[in-house]
Formats: sequence, structure tokens, C-alpha cells
Amino acid sequence: MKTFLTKPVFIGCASILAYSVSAIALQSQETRMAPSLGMFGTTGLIDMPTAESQPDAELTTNISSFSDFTRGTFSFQITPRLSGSFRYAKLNNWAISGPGGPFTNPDYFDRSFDFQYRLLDERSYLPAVAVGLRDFMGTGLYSSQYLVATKNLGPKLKVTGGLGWGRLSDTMDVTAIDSTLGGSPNIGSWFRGDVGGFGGIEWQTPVEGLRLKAEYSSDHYVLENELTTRDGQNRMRPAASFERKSPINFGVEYRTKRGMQFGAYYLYGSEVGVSFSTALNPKRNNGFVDRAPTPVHARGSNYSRSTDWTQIAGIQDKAREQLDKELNKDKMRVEALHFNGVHAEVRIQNRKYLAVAQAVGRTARAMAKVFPDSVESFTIVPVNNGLASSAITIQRHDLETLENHVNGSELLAGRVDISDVGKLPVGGLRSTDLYPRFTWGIAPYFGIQLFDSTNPFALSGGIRGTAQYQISSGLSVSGSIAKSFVTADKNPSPSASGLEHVRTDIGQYNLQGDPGIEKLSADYVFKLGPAVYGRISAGYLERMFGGVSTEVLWKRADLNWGLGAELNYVKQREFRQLFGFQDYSIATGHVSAYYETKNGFEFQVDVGRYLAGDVGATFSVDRSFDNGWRVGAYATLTDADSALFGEGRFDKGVRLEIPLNWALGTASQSSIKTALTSLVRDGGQRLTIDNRLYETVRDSHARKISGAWGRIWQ
Amino acid sequence: MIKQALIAISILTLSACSSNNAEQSGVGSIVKAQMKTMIAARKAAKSGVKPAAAKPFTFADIAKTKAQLVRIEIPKFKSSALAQFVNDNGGYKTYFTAGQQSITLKGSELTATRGFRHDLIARSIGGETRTYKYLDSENHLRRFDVTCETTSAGTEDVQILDKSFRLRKFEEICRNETKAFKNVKWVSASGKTRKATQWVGHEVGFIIIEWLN
Repeated sequence: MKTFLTKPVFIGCASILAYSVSAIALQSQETRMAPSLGMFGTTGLIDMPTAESQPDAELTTNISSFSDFTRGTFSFQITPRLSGSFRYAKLNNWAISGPGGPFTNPDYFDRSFDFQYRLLDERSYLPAVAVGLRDFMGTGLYSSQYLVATKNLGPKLKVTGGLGWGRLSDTMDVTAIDSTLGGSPNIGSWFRGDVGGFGGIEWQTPVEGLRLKAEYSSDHYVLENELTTRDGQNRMRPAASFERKSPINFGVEYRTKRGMQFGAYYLYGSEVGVSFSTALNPKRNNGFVDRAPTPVHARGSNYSRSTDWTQIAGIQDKAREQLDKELNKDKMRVEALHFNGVHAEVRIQNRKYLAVAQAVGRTARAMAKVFPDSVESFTIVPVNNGLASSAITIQRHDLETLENHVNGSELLAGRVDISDVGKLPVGGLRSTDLYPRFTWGIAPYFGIQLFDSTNPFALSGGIRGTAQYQISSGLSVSGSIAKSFVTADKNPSPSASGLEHVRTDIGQYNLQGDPGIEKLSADYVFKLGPAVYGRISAGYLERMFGGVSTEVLWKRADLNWGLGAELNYVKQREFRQLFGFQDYSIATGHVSAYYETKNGFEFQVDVGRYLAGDVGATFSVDRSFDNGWRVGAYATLTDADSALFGEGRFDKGVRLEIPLNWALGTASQSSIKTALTSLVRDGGQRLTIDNRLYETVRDSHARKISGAWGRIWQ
Repeated sequence: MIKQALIAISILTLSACSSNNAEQSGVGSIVKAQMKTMIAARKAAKSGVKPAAAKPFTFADIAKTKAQLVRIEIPKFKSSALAQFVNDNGGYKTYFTAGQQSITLKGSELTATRGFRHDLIARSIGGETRTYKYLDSENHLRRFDVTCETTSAGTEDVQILDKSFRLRKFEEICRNETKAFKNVKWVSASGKTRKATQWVGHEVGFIIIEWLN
């Protein structure tokens, strides 16, 4: 057997390399002014847009306010040319009546979505040109479309000019509101009717970060100031919001080096406005600190090819023990091991690294350290939640010769094999000390309830106890109990939904089910074949439903697409969140298709029956970054009657996942997940299952492994 | 600001009791590391007192060990450490610090670092054109090419630990369209490199390496 490396013995008290979070930015050769955000939270002047794009993948949050209006906007640069925004606006002192009756709340909350696409890049003598849709599927309050051009005139000045329709048509005749329910793209009115011109300039002052803006606005704010009744709309306003004395707006903005932007504006000749923005970008990162990996223990040129060592008594146990000890340094464990004189396969639990490639690289080096010279190839099988998800095979010679090669990562990528994995070969040894395993935890939790019509921002929080008993690989019982200390709504009004109240009774669950059993279920995940995975869950599956959930997934490790199906029979839980049920029960299920593009976009379509009995499909698209960030959006269209569904018409939302190693600078598999759901309604709702199969195995398959392959030598 | 908020949220979320020793230690260390850093920085800022310097090493100390040692220093971070040889893979020698960071040297040339926040993944050896490889924030490899030229710069007295050496000095200018840097080596009459200053990367800057035995 090989001998282990002697643990380094250090003399004296060598000072440890202290490390600073600070990073030096590359010297920028950019000579143009960076794009800024306007009062609508999108790239623009003040109220008017520009044709620029934010840096790819930029996530911005903007809050602006003037007169009776406050807007919060979340924007994402989806591709280098395409940006999307979700806006939530509060309009004070606003009353409006429509076909469904008058809204009596004087504060009106409005949701809107925008897209902008840059058609042409800026050239020496030509401006950048973009087309945009503002509020294209909300109530239409801000509905407008535009074509805009922007040109930098040197490094400190740029000019913008554009044509606008809808609100931007520079007329008093705006027929924007097409429905009080919102939720449908108002395509018929896009780029129709009057067209108006707008434009402006930005000047970078000699003070770093400080810029001045001036614009001609083609938005007359007719809706905000109209007091009369219009045919068919019956809109009424108790008082004008402000007096639009002038179309000219002025602004001063200051941008910090960390990307925060503060703005102050003089608007329409009568109002003062302010704005504040922050920016995050998954592509900007400080990296994270981790212990250096064990170097590759090379065998030399005349190594022994003898396999006699395999005959040593107890060699399996000894090898497993030594390899487990090595992997445990990085919070990885040996789940199972099989080897002969020339090949070794290890199945690992990885509890530390988000990038599977890094776990594979460290395991391969540990194997090179532990296994005798005759072993020529290593197969590493990541086991996720009990599922052996793929087999990554590396030739030991490649490991040795490419470790220090300048193109070692790329060359090794071309020589490894990633395939599906079957059962552990006969003679394989499973670790006996991993199961059964009981784990528990107590942690605070908090939540933010957003965008309810009457209470758009509410905090909730408390403490949650979780426990899991893993009986064997893939078989577990788990549960959680929560007690709230801060309740979002202490007097929830009864749901007025016309559909079964599968989600809109959330207030009753919060009120009566405190403390409550959030979840208590048994889960079994298994493999039906090398590329076929299965799951059975039974018990109190989530806060509002209990029953049985089954799932099957076909997903080959080397393909970028897969198919799945889920079938559930569930009954609605009582509000107290103990062990009882209500009368409502339903069989739900979906068939799902998954597809990943090479440039990091993941598409998913789920077609089936939802909890309220409505039938339809959910379309999801996520931009998935190879460092673990995910930014996505989804929409569910079902046959639920839009009038019964309520405000918003169909379920849709934006979601965000941020890996903790990005935020903390330390290796971690955890992430922060949040969702901006425009409105929670009863239509288009699925069971909340936290161990669905695709999410379980996805990161161990070829697309994800190769995406973060750069970490193989880390 | 958002990042700081995320860190705060992370710490709040993770500051939990758990039965899972492995995970707890990770979580605990994250929290402790963050807290320690914050507390230490706060104390240092308040007191204005620098921490006491460690007792200086001497060649007499070095003589007591058979381990191959180098002393490394990162001027940008004002930090230094001893690193011990642990592995040789085809002439690429890897040295580890007590803090579990490593550097790899081919001869006297730095070819890789590990355990730094921004590591040099690999570097080419030989030839006027040199390639450095790094990971970007998306875990994608990025290359940085420079052209280098070495010139002799006379001799200098160089202090290493408690001894002074008369060494030949060589300067290596590397440049491309956006960046230029200078590596320096001090070599003994017998041809052994005793000290070198080498560029690691944009974030880390330079590393000073002193060969102690």
C-alpha cells in the first residue's frame, strides 16, 4: 500500500496568510458613461428610457418616489441585449371604479412587467437602438411602447431620442387601461395610435460618480390627473395628483463605486422626486476561500503494476476507511466502494461543494493518494440524497500529467467520461456507519409577504425545528414544526376566491396553525434503471396538503434534456396544522419536460392538473449560472375561469437563488432562495415538494459538471 | 450593501442548533469566521494598536528541521507564512502553509496557488510568451497572456531571515496591451535562486518567495 504523506510539521508559529475580501478591479478601458437607472427602475434618463443595456446578468433594485407615486422595480439583464423588469407601484389617494365595482382603497397597488431589447449596438457614427414594452401585461396603467436611440458624444456626454406610443405618445388621449383584472398581454394596443417624441441628455460632471440629466418627457400623466368619467371605463379620481406644468425634467444622480445610485429630480415643473438603486451581478464575485487540495501523488515512471495487494486480508475495509478519512477533510464521505487491481469506483456523499467538479477533483486526488500504483482508473459517483446520479471516470495517468499543465483543465475535460450509473458492482462495500442517521436542527426563519392587494409588504418570522431520520440510503422520515413570533396578518380576511381555496386560506393556516406541523413525511428515492429515477413520498407533505406523491424521471447523465411524471393524491390539511384533514381531496399530476441550453438557460414545461382541479401548463425559464446563481420566471396558464381566479388572471412570478459561498466567501452548498410572486391565488398551484427528482440529480449530470469544470483542480 | 445584507441574512439563517456535527462545524466556522473578522477589525480600528509581531525566525531554527521550507509573503495583504514541501509531481513542487494554502513551483517559477481567494490555476513554463490561467466568478477558465523578457541587473545584498547574501539580480519585464509587471529574482553564485518576487494575478498582486534551505 502507499504510505500517506507525512503531515506537515511547522516550526515556530508561522503566521497564517491573512486574506482580505477586497479585490482590485481590472483597469477599465471603458470610455463611455455607464448606463444608469431612471424613475421607472429601468435603464433610462428620468421617466424616459434610453437604448443602453446594463452589463450582462446585472440585477438591479430601484425605489423611486414623487408626488403620490412610489415604485419599486426589480430588473434583470437576461441576455446582453434583453432586459426584463417587474415593478410594483403604490399610488396614493387613488380611487378607481370599473366593471367589477369600485375599489374603495384610496391607495392603489399596481404590478407591471417590462421588456427591452437592444436592436443595434452603438458604433462610431451610429447610435444604439432599442425597442421596449413597458407594462405589457399588467393593468396597463403604465402601458407604453417605444423605439429609442442613444449615442455617446465623448466620454462625458450622451444624448437620447425616441418615439413612444401609449403613455409615451405625448398626447392627452391615452386609452391605456384595458382591464382592472390585468394579467393579459394587451398586444392589440401595442405600437398603435398616436406617437410622440421624447429625448434627453446626460452629462458626467467632473465630480466622479456625479451626473446631471435633462429630458423632454412625452408622458402627460393623464391617468393620474384625470377626474372625469370615460366611456366604458367609469374611472374616477378624487383629486389631481399633481399639476404637469412642463414636459421638461431635470435630475442629479450620484453613483458610488459599489454600484449604489442616489437620484434627486425636479419633475414636470412642479414636483420633486427621489430614487435609490442597488445592483448585484452574479458575474462579479470575490471567489471563496477553501483549504488547498491534496496535490496529486504521482507514481513515477517505474511504478509497480502488481495487483497482489488485493489479496491482503481486510483490504476493502482498510481502503474504505483510509479514503473516507481523506474525504472527510472536505466534508465528503464514502457511501460505497468497489475496486479490483486496476480500477476503483467510489460513491461519495458531498456535503460541502456546490460545484460537483470540485468534489470530483478532490476525490480523484484522494484516490491517487490511497490506492496502490496498479489502479489505473478512478470512477467517482456523486450520490445525492440517496440517488447515485452519474459516473465520472478519470484515468490516473491523466490526473498525474495534467495537474500542472497550463491547459490541464481543458485537456482533462476532453478525456473524462460522464455516464449513467447502475447498481453497485457485486463485491462492492457499502459504508455501514452512515445509516441510520438522525439529524435535527433549530433555526430562526423569516419571510416577506409581498404584493398582496391590501397589504403589499408584510414580515413574518419565527423559529423552526427540523428533524430527519435517514433509515438507509434513499429512505428517510423527516418533519418540521414552526412557531411564529411575527405574523404577517393577525386578522386574515376569509378568502373570496371563486376556486377551491387551495392557497388563499394561507391567513387561516398562519393564524390557527401556530405552532403547527409544517411537514411530516416518509420519502423513498430509488433507481429503476441507470437513467430512471423514482420517488415516493407519503404523509403530511406540506403545510396545506397531505397524502401520497409519486414521481418518476428519465434523465441521462450525458443529455441536456429529460422527461418526468408526477402523480399525487392529496387531501387538504386542517388549519390547525396538526394531524387532521378537511374534506377537500384531489388527484393531481403532471408530465414534465426539461431542457438546458449550452449558454445556461433552463426551460421546463409541466402539463397537468393542479390542486384546485384546474388543468393547464406551467412554463419556466431560468438563467442558471455555473457558480450556482439562478434567476428565473414562470407562468402558469390553466383553464380556471379568469374571473374566478381573481386579480392577476394567472399565476406568475420571478425567482432568485443566490449561493451562500458567493455571499460569504466560504465553501457551502446552501443558497438563499426567494420568489417574487405577483399574487398568490388558487389557480395553477402545485404541491410544494422539496426533493423533486430533477433538482436532485441535475447538478451531477454532464451539463452542470462541465459548466463548472474549471474547479476540478481547486 | 445588498451583499452585506445577504451576509447578515446568511448568518441569521445559519445561526442555528443542529445535531449534524459536520455541518454544524461548517456553519459554526462560517459564523465564527465572520464574527472574528468583524470583531478583530473593530478592535483594531478602535485601539489603533497593531498585533504583536511573531518572534523572527533564524537560520538556526531552520537548521533544526529536515523539512524543505520557503517563506512566502504577499505584500498586498501584508501577510507572510512559512510553507513546507509536501509533494513533487514531475518537478512541480507543492508547498503547504499551516493555514492550508499552497503554492506550486517549477524550479523557482510559481505555477499555481491554492487556498487563496483568487488562485492562479496554472501557468505555462518556458518561452517568451507566457500564459496564466484563472477562474472567473462563473467558474470558467480565463487566460492572461504576456510576453516576458529577462535582463541582468547586477548584484545586491539581500537580507533573508537573519543573514545577508550577496546575490545576482535578474529582472523580468512582462507585458501585454493592458498590463505590465516586473518579476525579480536573486540568484547565488552557484545558480540557486534564494529569493524571487513574482506576479500572481490581478487580485493577489505579487508574492515574495524566499528559499530557506
